[in-house]
Amino acid sequence: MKQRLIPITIISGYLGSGKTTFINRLLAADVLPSKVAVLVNDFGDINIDAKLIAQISDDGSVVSLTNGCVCCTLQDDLANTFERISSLAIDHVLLEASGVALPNKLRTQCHYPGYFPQHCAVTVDAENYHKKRQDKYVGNLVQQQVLQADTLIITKLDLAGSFELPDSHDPGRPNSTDLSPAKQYSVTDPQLIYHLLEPVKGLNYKPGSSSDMASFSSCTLEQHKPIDIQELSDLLATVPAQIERIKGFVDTPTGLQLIQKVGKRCSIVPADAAQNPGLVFIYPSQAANPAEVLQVNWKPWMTLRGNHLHSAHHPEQS
Amino acid sequence: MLTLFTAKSIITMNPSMPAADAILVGDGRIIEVGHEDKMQPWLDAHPHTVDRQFSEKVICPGFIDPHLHPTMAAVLLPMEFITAMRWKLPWGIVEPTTTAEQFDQRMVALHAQKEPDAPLFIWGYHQLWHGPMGKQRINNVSSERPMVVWHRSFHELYMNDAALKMTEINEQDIKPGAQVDFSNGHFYENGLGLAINRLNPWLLAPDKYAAGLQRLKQVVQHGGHTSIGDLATGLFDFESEANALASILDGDDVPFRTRLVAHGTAILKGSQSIEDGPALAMQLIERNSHRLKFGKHIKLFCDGAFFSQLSQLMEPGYIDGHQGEWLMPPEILEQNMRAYWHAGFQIHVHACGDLGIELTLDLLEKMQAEKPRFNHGFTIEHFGFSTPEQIKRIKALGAQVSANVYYLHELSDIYSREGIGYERASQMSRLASCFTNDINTALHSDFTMAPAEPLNSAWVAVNRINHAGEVMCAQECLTAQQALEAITINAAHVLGMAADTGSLRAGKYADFTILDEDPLTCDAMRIRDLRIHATVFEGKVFPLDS
Repeated sequence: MKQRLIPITIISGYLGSGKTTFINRLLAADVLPSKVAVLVNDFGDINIDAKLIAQISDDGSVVSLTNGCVCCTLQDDLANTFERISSLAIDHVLLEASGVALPNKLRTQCHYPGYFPQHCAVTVDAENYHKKRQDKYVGNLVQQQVLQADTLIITKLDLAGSFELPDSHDPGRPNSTDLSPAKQYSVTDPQLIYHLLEPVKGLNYKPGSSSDMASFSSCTLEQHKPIDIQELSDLLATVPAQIERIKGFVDTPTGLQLIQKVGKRCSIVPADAAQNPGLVFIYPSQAANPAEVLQVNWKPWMTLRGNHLHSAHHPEQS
Repeated sequence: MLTLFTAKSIITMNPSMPAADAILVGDGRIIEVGHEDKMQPWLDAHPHTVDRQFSEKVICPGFIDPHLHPTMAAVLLPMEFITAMRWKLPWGIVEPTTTAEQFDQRMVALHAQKEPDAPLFIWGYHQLWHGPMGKQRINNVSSERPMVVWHRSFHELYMNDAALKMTEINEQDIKPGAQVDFSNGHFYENGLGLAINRLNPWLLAPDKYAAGLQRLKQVVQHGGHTSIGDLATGLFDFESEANALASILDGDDVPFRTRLVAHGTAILKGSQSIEDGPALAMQLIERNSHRLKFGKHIKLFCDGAFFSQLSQLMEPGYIDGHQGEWLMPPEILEQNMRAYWHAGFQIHVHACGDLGIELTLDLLEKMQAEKPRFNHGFTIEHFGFSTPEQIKRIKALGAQVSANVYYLHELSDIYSREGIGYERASQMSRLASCFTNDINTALHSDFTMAPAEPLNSAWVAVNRINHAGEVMCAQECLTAQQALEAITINAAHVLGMAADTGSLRAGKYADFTILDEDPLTCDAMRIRDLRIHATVFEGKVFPLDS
């Protein structure tokens, strides 16, 4: 039986940065489309208006809402929760992550049969972020969370007035064209929820961090000759299966195109600024290196420039 | 009726009378320790028998492992072991398998022995010794019998075609990024969750789990233990674990008692808050039976596992630059700690790396400022890598240490090369410094992380020899006396049982471990090989056949 995969939107962010407040706001405003499963760490801090509650499961772990959504606690590990909700009629998951989880690790956890990670947002407390990122114990963690986000949800702007990421958050990436910064939204932006339920625009997968739990490698191809858009589209559709993301700019007879491909979803849109043409192919380090195949298939237009292991999968000696 | 046991020698761990040769027991408790001729007043006043079965043996206080996990053990022990290190199990010694060829031979032999149709679970594979594993390699042993090869670390496993079929895991279910390499039958890190969910009918079926706990019971007895600590009751599921433990680790045939220390976050249900924890933990005490006892103890978690290099380290961190993990946000750990500290609990904190230990000590210092306590028993559990300065802080704050010294044996060689470098790898388990600073210090196995053999832990602590044969930081070697304290009286202090067991003196339980030789005077390299002749639990003799 072929089933549609259920997309997951991850809401990550350090403790106290506003994840739960944001989820409470969504529930209170009743803005979630039907059939969204909201997975939360515990119900203790979640306020669900009694009028919205249709049914509560016997063990109290699943609350069905009158608008067709469900709220569910992550009682044990994520894998168990996915099994538990697999029988429910849902078509999207909103996942509240633990405050100490890293987005890249969460993404790999969300590749459970039947599901895929579509979008990872990280809440950033505008008032306290700059202090927190220097904390002796969690400074590195909160910075990594921000660096690995697709979207940043800026909270407590009313207290802070404004918010800017520090310059140091431009990590020394292999080259400057392959990754764009996460898009920032204010938590009060009414468009935010619709953005979060959509696939990521402006890919922001950051394989360069050495503390990624999942380790990814990349191949970079440099373009030396323009390629027809149809041919480009065919080639992008037939890259080796282990490649998870493709990002970059490609020169075509109709101008420079911005390419973003995540899983099977691919977008080719005109680029709005001049960039060096080339593509970065990202794949799990555990998988076979696709460099050779890419080199052959793309040879008329591109040449291999780099093949990097971005973060060693740390030794699992035990 | 009193029983007088005589022995070649008795090691009491009571500093006022370290050695004796007779011990008088009545109703499960020690009446008097010393010399037979001095016990006449008791013998004249009460009917008694003289038992000389140990007259050529050495009597030690019953060994205590203050930190292991019966539930994890119950899952692992039904599996077949093929390991690079030696494992002494009641049903036989697992000799080291250190090459790929030997590993394959062992798989073939196990396949030949196993009844047809039953799935074969193998634990202990490690690529450093056993070469690359894969589906085809297991298929070569058998493509018909479901076979699962589990990595020593538990973080990954491999299945053959028959096992994939048995678990109904299909290729189309596996998406890129799932940390599953289906073509190789390889499930790792997060991909392991899927494999375990599908294997659970074979791993956690009630009869399998009960059989596993029966095996654990044998392991504990064969290690010479008379007391153990389950240092995270509720690790998987609180009620089912507590019920299974109550049905199998209680009863007259069980030669040991268990201190149950609840998993601090597992006892909370639904919307209960952290502040509800102490009252809930106190209610658990009502479930106590003679052998299984909760106490005013709680287990909390700080940083990630030492075995998987997820401990939090201070600068300069790990060689490859990766970061450790926090198991809960420091603020939540603090909130938990505050609730239990103010309620007067003894708090056990899982802390492995020096940054994890630093956070734990910072929080303890905060608690001491809020509400000063003496004799609080706060325990750093695992104690993988620490700094000399932290030793002074542990002492100043009145905390104690329960260490998994086996890290040094199994990990120090590889961590010196692929982890943290030689200086810090060699100084794992900074134990002599703890003794010098008069910190109560115990050794544990965290079984199944290390063998549940107190004499093996003592052997590592005394010799500090890693698996490659190198002595790592001789300055931190314990004396045999200290190591024996660490698996008896000091461990009893960690579990809050020192008034009842851990040493041999009038009034305590008659818990003995009977050895053929004296561990204090034998060649230090032989400590782990000393034969355990029997254990005595509350005066009752439990012989060991091996």
